[in-house]
Amino acid sequence: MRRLAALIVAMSLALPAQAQQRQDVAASAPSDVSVTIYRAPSRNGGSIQLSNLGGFAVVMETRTIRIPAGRSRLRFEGVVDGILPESAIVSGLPGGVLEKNRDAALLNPSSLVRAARGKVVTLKRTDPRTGKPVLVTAEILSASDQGVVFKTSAGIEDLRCSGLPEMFRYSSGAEGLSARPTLSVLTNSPRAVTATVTLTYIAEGFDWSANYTALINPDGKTMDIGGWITLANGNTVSLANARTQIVAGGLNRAYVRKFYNNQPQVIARCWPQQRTHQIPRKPERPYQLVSPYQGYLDDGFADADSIVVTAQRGRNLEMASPPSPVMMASPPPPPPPPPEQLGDLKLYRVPQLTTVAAMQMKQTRLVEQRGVPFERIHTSAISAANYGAGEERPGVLVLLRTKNDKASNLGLPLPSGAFVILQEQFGLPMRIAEPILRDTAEDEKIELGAGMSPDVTVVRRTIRREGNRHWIEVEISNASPQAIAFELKVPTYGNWKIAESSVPWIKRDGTPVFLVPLASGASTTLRFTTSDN
Amino acid sequence: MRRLPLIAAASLIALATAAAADTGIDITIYADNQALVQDTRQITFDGKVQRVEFKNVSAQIRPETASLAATDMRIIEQNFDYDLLSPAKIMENAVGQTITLVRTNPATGAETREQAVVLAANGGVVLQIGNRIEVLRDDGLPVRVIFDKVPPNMRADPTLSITLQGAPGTREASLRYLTPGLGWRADYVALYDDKTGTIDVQGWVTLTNNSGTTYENAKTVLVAGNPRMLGQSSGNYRQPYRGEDGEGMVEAGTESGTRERLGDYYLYPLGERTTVANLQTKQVSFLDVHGAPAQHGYEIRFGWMQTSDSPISAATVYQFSNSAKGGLGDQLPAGIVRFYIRDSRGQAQFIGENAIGHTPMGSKLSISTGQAFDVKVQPVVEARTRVNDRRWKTTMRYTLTNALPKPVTVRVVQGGLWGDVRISAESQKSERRDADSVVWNVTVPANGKTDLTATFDSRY
Repeated sequence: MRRLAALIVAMSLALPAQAQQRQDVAASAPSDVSVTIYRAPSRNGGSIQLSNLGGFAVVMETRTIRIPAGRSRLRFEGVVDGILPESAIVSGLPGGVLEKNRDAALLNPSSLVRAARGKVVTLKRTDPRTGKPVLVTAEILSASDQGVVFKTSAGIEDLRCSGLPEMFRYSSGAEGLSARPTLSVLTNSPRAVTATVTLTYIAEGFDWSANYTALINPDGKTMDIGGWITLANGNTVSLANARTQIVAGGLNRAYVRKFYNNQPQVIARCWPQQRTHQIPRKPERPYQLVSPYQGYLDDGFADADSIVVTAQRGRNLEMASPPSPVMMASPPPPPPPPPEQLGDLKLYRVPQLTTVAAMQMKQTRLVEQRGVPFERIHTSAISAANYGAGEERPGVLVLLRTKNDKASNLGLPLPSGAFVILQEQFGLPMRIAEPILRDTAEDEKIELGAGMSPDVTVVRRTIRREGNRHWIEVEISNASPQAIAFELKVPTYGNWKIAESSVPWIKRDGTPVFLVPLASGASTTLRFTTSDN
Repeated sequence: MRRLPLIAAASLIALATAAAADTGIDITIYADNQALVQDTRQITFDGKVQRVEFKNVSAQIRPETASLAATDMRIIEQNFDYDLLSPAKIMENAVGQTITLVRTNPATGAETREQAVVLAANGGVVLQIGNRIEVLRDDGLPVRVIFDKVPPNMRADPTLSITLQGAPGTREASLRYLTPGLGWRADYVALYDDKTGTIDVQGWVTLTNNSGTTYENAKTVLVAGNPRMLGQSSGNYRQPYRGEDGEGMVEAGTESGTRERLGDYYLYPLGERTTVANLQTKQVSFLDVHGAPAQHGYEIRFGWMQTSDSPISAATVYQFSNSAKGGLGDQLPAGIVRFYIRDSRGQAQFIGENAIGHTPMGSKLSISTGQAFDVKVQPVVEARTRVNDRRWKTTMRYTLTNALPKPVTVRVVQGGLWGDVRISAESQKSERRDADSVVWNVTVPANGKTDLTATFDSRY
């Protein structure tokens, strides 16, 4: 007995400090969850695809753990699968954090047979005469994506060549492999205690978008603006009863090398299996010297690549749009509270606790502003000088212009998103255009493109050229039943400027602009000269 | 596990001795996905030429860098066997040899055994059975093939084997090699407090193991700095990509820290032995500073004299120092700084991140976390006139707007001033930072607007 005790002491001394008496404790399920969702950096409108979400979220969970005295490993199960383990912050541990680990080696059939390589297992085969199972002792020699090779007392053979059921039974191998990627923390607590621990981490696979509707009122002078936030969780974990926030504004992400499991799956297959006509020709080895550093160089190349910002993600326009806000607009809800300032970003809170379920999209009200006055502007741009291009007939764009201020019944931050402009006709709202709004702060002007106008025509001709001086004539006609406010832009480059003009013009943002009000059915001709002197 | 290498050694590879239990693994991990592993094991030398096998080495080992060190021993040959044992490989190696075929009668289930010589295994397998030649499984019926032995150079895992001769006895031998698949970087958590103008910074080293092997109880040292590796150009070490705004380190430090050094690199030894498991991300703290002073500001940079038809958001910039006095008091290895700020309910919310390069102690850092929603600048070329054949005059107006209820100061940087550009007039005094750019610090009142104008006299 004493000898045994001495042996145990000796063993425990020989064991490294870390392995001594380390207890493994699982944290409770989260009792309080908060999720803050951030948009994909490139997103400014358009639909969300659940399978490919470019945004992320910061998840905060409160969990309870019974921590034993001394060293222990605390496991946090059920964290969102898109977790960036390096971003995890654990607070509230009396013994502090010695080490944080995230193990991605998962238990699956492939990792189990891989772990059994070189070990003795039981092979269950089928007796071909009786069909009864036969148990044989086997040693697994190799298991890879090429096949599984094992050894029995009969010799060495491959799995799945007998044409009858064959399988391995393992006695061990599941140790150290977890069911899900698990975040764990090593701590050294001075005493046993039940602690409330907060875990905060960044997780990918979330996104949100803002969608606005602008319904033009029958007076044609005001519109009602409504906005919805659509948020999405593309992870397999749901966040139940979560305090939910959304952050608008542009924030930096640093792109880092991602960490993938590059081990191929084990495939059990007999080789060769094909009959003569199915057998592919064996590829010939090319006769060339292969650099032993090839693999390494490739790796280095990939490394250099990985720091390129790859935020651009193609949007698939064929995917379904989020459920249209139009359909839900019937009973007007009260205007939602304005966002909170978070540094230089905007934080929106979903008013009640909500469940952000796995693979789910969810909508919440963003703005509800009625009677926003706007100006309807027709505009086009012509060149200050052209040579031999003949007539220019630029398209005429319709702009709805307003200002994001209190006087215009707005005056609140509007995160970038897609607009749907609607106007009632035959008692039905008709879609007019779908422009994109960029992040718009208070007091900024808002210009929404509302399509092209076929009723307004602009023709520009150069009448005469002399040295660096051009005589230009622009004919504008209005075939629409309403009077319009037309703006003609003449962008100038280099030294070009408007020298003389029959009508006055203004300069806006460095560009000369002619303001031309035009009655229904009227047309007018502007004459001016441009020069490069 | 202990038992089986013996079986294998006895039955399959008569000469080989498996290197016995590890007595210790030391890993030195560099920041660029590269590690030096020193694997110390007990080896029993028999005085004759013998082959020693090292299993469980990194699956991504660079075999050309492997070396074994032990007393009273000479190395004859070093082999790295990576010919993976697979059904196809074992058949290809059996060409010319006799194998056993086990066929099952589909009607009765009776098994018949036959000896066959493998004639070829090029895609399909051609066999000679007695006087006839057959293609294996050409009838589509299952046939079991039984081999007598595993070819000696085939392994289930990449294995390093060394042929050596040493004076008889059991001694320690250290195997050293370089391997990719292990790397680390720093991750920083910075919590900014707007009221006090301070930050709390925690620094974590994050190491990742994707090398395919688990290192049990390893003594681990992390090296900050970038040793030159084969295939990289010498010199010109570039700081990581940071984007345009915020410049990372704006003033290089001159203070020496108390960290251990190796040549020009800093060393971060982990406090205790730890197991670095395959596919694991591990984090250990190395920095925890509270209440270091920090400033919040705005910056915008224009690469050339441009007109924008809409206002452009200024970058949000946080500035702090890592000096021992009034700073973080440590050098900062390259990594990612994530900024957080508390919301009205006291919960820390993420506001952006950026990468920093290796930063010596005493440096000043200016890190951009993103674009400000409420602080914007619209640049407009008001006029551009030719003065004469050689000179042009460009009048720029920058309209700075602030939708915040407090005044802000924006650092406006106009770049792209090639050649001998002079400023002939400006609405407020500028600072010429270098020949190519000029800087203004412009104050914008709360919920207000400031116009900055400047006239550039340039050659183009």
